[in-house]
Amino acid sequence: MKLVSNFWRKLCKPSNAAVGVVIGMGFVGGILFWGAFNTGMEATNSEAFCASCHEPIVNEIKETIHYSNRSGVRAICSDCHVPHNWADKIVRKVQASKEVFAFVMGNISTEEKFYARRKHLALREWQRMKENDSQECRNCHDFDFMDFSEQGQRSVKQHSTALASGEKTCVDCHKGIAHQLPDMSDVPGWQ
Amino acid sequence: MSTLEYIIWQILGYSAMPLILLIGFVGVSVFTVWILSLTSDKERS
Ligand code: HEC
Ligand code: HEC
Ligand code: HEC
Ligand code: HEC
Repeated sequence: MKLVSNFWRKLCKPSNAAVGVVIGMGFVGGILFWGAFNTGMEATNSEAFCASCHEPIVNEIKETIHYSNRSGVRAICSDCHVPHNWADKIVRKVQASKEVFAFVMGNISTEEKFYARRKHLALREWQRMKENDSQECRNCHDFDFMDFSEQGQRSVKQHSTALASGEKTCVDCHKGIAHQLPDMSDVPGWQ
Repeated sequence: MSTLEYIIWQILGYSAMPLILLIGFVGVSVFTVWILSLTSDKERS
């Protein structure tokens, strides 16, 4: 308490330093804070960070097209799971504090527990992507630039109808695109 | 996610933003006052 009141007194006391110096310090301090904040945001977007809790998933993804493909473009966890837009990103990060709690509770601490809980988590993720119209996929796959003449027949048939009309979104059809599917019984549209 | 959960997380998420700005301000002010007190600036006069 003494520390705080001491600080407050100093904060309120006009400085003898030139105004320029004080403003400059505020400016530099602001940049440092901004930099540190951004570094933190970046670090918690890295695959290594996610891997520290989602080990089984990271192993699975190495088999998929988003890990290794002829074009050499990679999608990492945060590309698909963390929104890019600043406000949504902060909201998602704050929500992710729940994951830390679930981690401490040991919700998915072993592979067995993870596989048992997987369907529940997948349903949540599908729901999230349904609500934002698969925004994360669209950051890389832009419908407007899909060349139907380059796509397979099956793709064109679906993309030019259900997708174009907005009736369905990417994850309605493309489930399990980056991970193994959970038990799909009683998911609509799957046997 | 249930609607209630959704609302709670949405409120927490959005209230985090001004909090971040506020913490930034406090952090920078602590830092600045500390630097200034290294000089004779903040001595009791
Ligand atoms: C502190 C450990 C931890 C870290 C780090 C972590 N997660 Fe999680 N994550 C969890 C736990 C535990 C759950 C299960 C939550 C539950 O059981 O309700 C989870 C659940 C999820 C889900 C399921 C959907 C949902 O709404 O719960 C997704 C998607 C996810 N994590 C993605 C990520 C991504 C992407 C990263 C890296 C940016 C990441 N996680 C980093 C612990 C972690
Ligand atoms: C970081 C950018 C990025 C993101 C995000 C992304 N993708 Fe991809 N996707 C790619 C690349 C790159 C390829 C491979 C292109 C190639 O070389 O054929 C690809 C390939 C695909 C394919 C073709 C698979 C095949 O076997 O030909 C599908 C389907 C697909 N993505 C769906 C999705 C869905 C659904 C999402 C959202 C959950 C998504 N992608 C998110 C970059 C991305
Ligand atoms: C109505 C269902 C449906 C929706 C919605 C849908 N797709 Fe597809 N998509 C398909 C089918 C079916 C295929 C063909 C898969 C196959 O032949 O193995 C396909 C194939 C693809 C391919 C590979 C194209 C090729 O022919 O090489 C990509 C990439 C792709 N989809 C991306 C997307 C993205 C991104 C979205 C959201 C913007 C999306 N799809 C929405 C059904 C859908
Ligand atoms: C191409 C986009 C894409 C990438 C890259 C991706 N995911 Fe996912 N993830 C999804 C989708 C879509 C779902 C919804 C379930 C499904 O379709 O398999 C999902 C579901 C999940 C879940 C819920 C449980 C489950 O298995 O369904 C977790 C946890 C998760 N992802 C973590 C990760 C982690 C960790 C990484 C990085 C190693 C990662 N994801 C990379 C698209 C992606």
